Formats: sequence, structure tokens, C-alpha cells
Amino acid sequence: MPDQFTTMLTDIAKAAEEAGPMRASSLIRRRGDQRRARQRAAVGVVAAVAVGAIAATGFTLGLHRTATNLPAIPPNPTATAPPTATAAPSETPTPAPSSTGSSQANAGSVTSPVPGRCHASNLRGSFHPFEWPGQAGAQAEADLGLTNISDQTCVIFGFPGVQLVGPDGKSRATNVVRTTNRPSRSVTLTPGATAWTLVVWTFTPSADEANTNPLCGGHVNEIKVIPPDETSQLTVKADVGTVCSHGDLTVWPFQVNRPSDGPPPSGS
Amino acid sequence: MFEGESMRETADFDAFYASTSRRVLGQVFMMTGSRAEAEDAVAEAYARAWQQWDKVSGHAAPEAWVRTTAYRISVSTWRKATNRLLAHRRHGQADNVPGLTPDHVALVDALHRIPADQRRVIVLHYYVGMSIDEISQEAGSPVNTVKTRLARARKALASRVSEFADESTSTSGMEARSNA
Repeated sequence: MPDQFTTMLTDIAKAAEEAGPMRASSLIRRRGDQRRARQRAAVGVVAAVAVGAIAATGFTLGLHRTATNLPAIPPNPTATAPPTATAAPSETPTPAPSSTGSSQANAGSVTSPVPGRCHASNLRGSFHPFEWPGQAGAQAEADLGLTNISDQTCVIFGFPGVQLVGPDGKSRATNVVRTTNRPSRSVTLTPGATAWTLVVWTFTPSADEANTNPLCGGHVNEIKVIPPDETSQLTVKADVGTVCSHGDLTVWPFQVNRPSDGPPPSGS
Repeated sequence: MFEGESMRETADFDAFYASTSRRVLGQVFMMTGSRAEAEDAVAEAYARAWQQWDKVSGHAAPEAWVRTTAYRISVSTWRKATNRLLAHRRHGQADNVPGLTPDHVALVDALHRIPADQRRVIVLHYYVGMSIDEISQEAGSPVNTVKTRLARARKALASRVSEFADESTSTSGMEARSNA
């Protein structure tokens, strides 16, 4: 046991502790109160936007930033679910549009030894916000699941593409950031099985967003998801709410387990 | 919220802050290597603790909660981006902690050169005195990950900290100096 090392660390920490006065407790509490007030304001704005979404949209358009790392998603009226701002995270999400009917094309072949990639038309998305116990909060998390609704086993490997959509059906600024500290692994989906990823976003405004109205571009209640290596999108009802930090979303690669069942990530 | 309850909560929080904040600052300083950064992160972490004090005060280990939160804040890239300008201005001033010997400064430098997650494990293990299991819990990382980080950090620090050098060679530098 390196006692000497511990002693040195202790000396250094002590010097740092003594290097200046601590801030007054009252100041810290005031900062906490301000955070609480901002959060309440954000919730209020969400409610207001849910009621009067149409009035708000004209202004938000100017604030949009285009997604940088996923293909632009054209508006797709046929795939868009009717906007319902009050929708809770549901266990029975919007069925994927099955316009092509190609999902059953291979049903005749008895066994295919190497399952192919999961195609968008064979997947259904679901979005489940949650909170890790003990986690402090400027950030919110959700499990995003893709379920194989075909009768063929298929494989998902990699990250989702995501586009945020408001109750007005219009895209919101979205910037998907792929986490770098988790390895991508192939997830084999038998019929009915689900692959999971984590989506993390910030709901308190950054300095340059503090005065935006609606806050940070407005409410988000739907996401378009592009499965890895696919080009078409799934519409998923998603109670995302306010997304600040200019639409930054951190996503994990798809995995077998629900992220909410595991421990929270350390660090960023 | 009732007035009396609110006052009691305030008193609770103030006592918690008074008794723990300096210690947490020292720990987070070791994890970040910058006193200014640590001070900001610790202040923000305590503000968040107050923001949800009913939850945090009922937590099994509120101090660990604040330390973990402060660490997360300090390594958050998001925060780094917004504070880069500020940090730039501060560099070379507030980060000078008086009372450090050249050996101390060299160790702080060495710690600063290893990744933040390794530094955190080193600090929790050797300074805070936590076991691998406890660190695993606090960091939310598997035990093996903690062990790996600790081993890598030891290896990286071996040239600086004689106790971490190859077990077979007898320690010299730091030991000798300390005994003198």
C-alpha cells in the first residue's frame, strides 16, 4: 500500500482546500433556487407550447440548426402520427408504416444461415424516458427500442439516426452525437425481440438559449428514427419535451439490454 | 411547503455544506487538477443538491452524491465548451495553489496527464480510501473496469511515484525524501 503516495495526495488536497474561502451557503442555495425556477419555467413553456403550438412555430423556424451527421429527413405525411402532446411514453408505440409490404418477401425460405440487416420496414420503435436513481439533473435520458416485427431474424449493428419533431409536425434542431466510450456490438433480433439504445438530452437552456421563446425551440413529442445503415425512417411517439443545447442528443450504439436496467454511464 | 419545514431544510443544508464542502473541494480538485474548475463544479453540485434537497438529504451518502455530481460536471464536455473562454482567462492564476512543494506540483502534473476516469479512481482509492467495490458503486462502473483503470493509472504514474514502480525494485526516491 503506497502510504507515501496517499500522504502526498492528502497534502495536496489540504493545500487546495485551504487555498481560498468557500462560497457562502446562502449563495449556493440561491443558485439551486434559480435552477429550480428555470426548470419550472421550462415545464411551463412546454405546457404552453402543447396548448398553442401553432402560434409558436413561426418563431422557432429561424432557430433551427440542421442535423450534421444524418441525412436530412424529408417530411413524410403518411408516416406521421397525429400530434398528441399529452401522450405518455407508451408500451404500444406507433406501428411502423408498412407501405411496401416487402417484409414477408423471404418468408418462403425455411432457414437463412446468416441473418441479414434489420430493415426499417421490419422494425417498430418505442421511446421510454426514465431517471437513474441519484442522478442530478440538467439532462434527461430515455431508452429507445427497435422491435423486430417481421417473422425473420435480423441483425442491428451501430447507432440510430434521430430527428426531433414538434407537435406541429415540423422538424426541430437536432444534432446527434455518438458516444465514443461504448463499443458497437451486433444485436441479433429474433421475431419480436428488441434492440436498445440510450438517448440523452439537456433540458436546461445554455447561455445563448436563455431568452428563446418557446424555450430552446419548443416542445418535442415525436422522433424519426433511422435504423443503422438504413435510409428510411420510423416515426416514434416520444415524450421528449424541451431539448436545449441546440438539439444535442447523445446516443449509444444499439445493445441487447435496456440502458435503464444498467448503471448510469460515468463521466460524460 | 410549510415555513418551519423550509427553515429546517435550510439549516440542514447549511450544516451539510459547512461540514463537507471543503473536503469535497479537495477531492474534486485532485480529480480535475484545477482549483477554479473544482470550485465551480463543487458549487454547481451543491446547488443541484439544494435544488432537490428532499431527495438528496434522504440519500444513503449525500456527500458521495455531491462528489459524483461535481465530478460529472467537471468532465462534462458540454460544460467545458461553454466555459472554455472563462477557463482560458483564469489559467495560470487561480490554479496556483499556495503551499505546494515542487514534488507536489510534479505529482499534480503527472495526475493531470492521465485520463480523468483513471485519475478519479486513483483519488477515490488512495486519497478518499474507498475499496474497489465502493468505487465501482460510486462510479457506476463494473469492478473489472475499476481495476483496469487503477492498474493503468498506477502504470502511468510509475515513473513519478516510486511506490507504483515495479514491485521487485525497492522504492527509493520519494521514500527516502519522506524519511529525511
